[in-house]
Amino acid sequence: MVTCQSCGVRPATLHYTQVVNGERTELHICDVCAGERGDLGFADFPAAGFNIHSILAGLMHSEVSPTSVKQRQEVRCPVCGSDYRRFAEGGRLGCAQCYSTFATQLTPLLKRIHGNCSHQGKIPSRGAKTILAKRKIEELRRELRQAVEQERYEVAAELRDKLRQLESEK
Amino acid sequence: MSSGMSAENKAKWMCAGGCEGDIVISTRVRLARNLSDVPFPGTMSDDQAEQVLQRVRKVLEPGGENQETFWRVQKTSDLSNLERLFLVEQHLISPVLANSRSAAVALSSDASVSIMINEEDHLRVQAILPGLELDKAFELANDCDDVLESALPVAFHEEYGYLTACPTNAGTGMRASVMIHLPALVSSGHIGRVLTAIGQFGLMARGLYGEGTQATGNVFQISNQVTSGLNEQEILKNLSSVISQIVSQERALLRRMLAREKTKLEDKVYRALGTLQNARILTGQEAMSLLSDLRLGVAAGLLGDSGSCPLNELLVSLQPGSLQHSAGRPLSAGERDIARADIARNIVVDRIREGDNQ
Repeated sequence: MVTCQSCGVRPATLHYTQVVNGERTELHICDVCAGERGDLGFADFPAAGFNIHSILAGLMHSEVSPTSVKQRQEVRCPVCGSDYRRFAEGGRLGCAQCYSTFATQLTPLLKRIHGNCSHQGKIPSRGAKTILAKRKIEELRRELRQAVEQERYEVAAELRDKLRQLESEK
Repeated sequence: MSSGMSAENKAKWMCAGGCEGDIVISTRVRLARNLSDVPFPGTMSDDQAEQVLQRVRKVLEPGGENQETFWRVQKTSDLSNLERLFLVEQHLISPVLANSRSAAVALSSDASVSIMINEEDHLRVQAILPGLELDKAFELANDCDDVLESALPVAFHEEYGYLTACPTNAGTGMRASVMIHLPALVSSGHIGRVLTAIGQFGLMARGLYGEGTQATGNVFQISNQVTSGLNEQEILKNLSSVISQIVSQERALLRRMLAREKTKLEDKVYRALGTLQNARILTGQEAMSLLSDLRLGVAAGLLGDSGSCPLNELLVSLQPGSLQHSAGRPLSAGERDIARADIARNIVVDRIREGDNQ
């Protein structure tokens, strides 16, 4: 029987093992101590304590040079009032507007997390029409450039007409 | 018990079966969404939290935008500790939500879809099904998301996609995860190689939660790490093809075990069955280890098929919150071990007959 790591007296009844990159952390505690540790006893477990946010925070700091950190810390989000420091330390943004407020730091960060941060997925139905139209225009522009480069002028002319039409509908 | 809601709403994934149900325990697809006109839960006030809840309630209530599904909405503060713990064990809510006072959960009538309100994000819609059912789970969550976003202004950015409190979720806001039992890969020592390979596909692996986690070393949760730059179908397809690969490797190793050391395998499985059918005291760790052996027996074809074996039900029913929920009162650790043995006996004796298919 393992004794509780918190009180060292009672037998441990909750066992928690976490393996991160091959490194093993174990926590064995008894009912009583688990109860004292929080509502459900989850709150203080390594899993809850270990979080992606602390890793993120490290990434965020490394994104900017020491001199610019100070300047950027002074920028505050006009909607929720969060500054860069809050976001760098907690790894969480305060509101939707923060994505625009901190865009300079976020874009490279998102690229590092996801490899590519240009959204390709679902679009909310409310804004779908305009966003889809924009996506289509971008696609046509790319095709047009390609057609011109390959000297396929007939195709290019067609694409140009389509583009004009779409742009006039905007 | 204040309402008994959780007892009526046994999570859908606890039912037996599903695709590859002997190896894949469950599939979950979660969509993170926020309202565009309220700060994220981490920064909003209590009043704003209440407003978010009221607005979501209005969409879900009968006669609102939603016509098809009946939703039961409960504030976490109105639930007892035991009810919350039971919901966490069923994966219907997260520990974070369980401990948050301004949060709420909405459950669909068959508890296949749950909406966590005011967790890290305003809305986390998740669908959980037994077995490997990524497309179906996505469809369920996505339909629910359609209903919500037709009535609520969702935070969305043309370039970044859906905006979430944590940038690791931005883009699709989708996390798809598969809970998978891999005893043969673990015992053969191949699991390390598999888990390393997973990272190269933009996926990650974690263990199961809570009590007895040490003994459930054979259960892994594999999910997508990348949520942006790909669309939902691409992410699901990527995950699904990696899972299929892992399942076929596990099956190949199982066949090898059956060919080379059948008696040893049978001994392990039938000892587990015997203990579950006869024990009078069962600790959480021992139970999880026995359940793993039982599932191994089903996957190896020794104990009937996964459709007839209540493996998922046992996985939840023997957890502390579920035991206390069934008892209708808090139990000490000693009482829980006795209750656990009782419930295991009832379920196993009732529903699993040795050598069903022999």
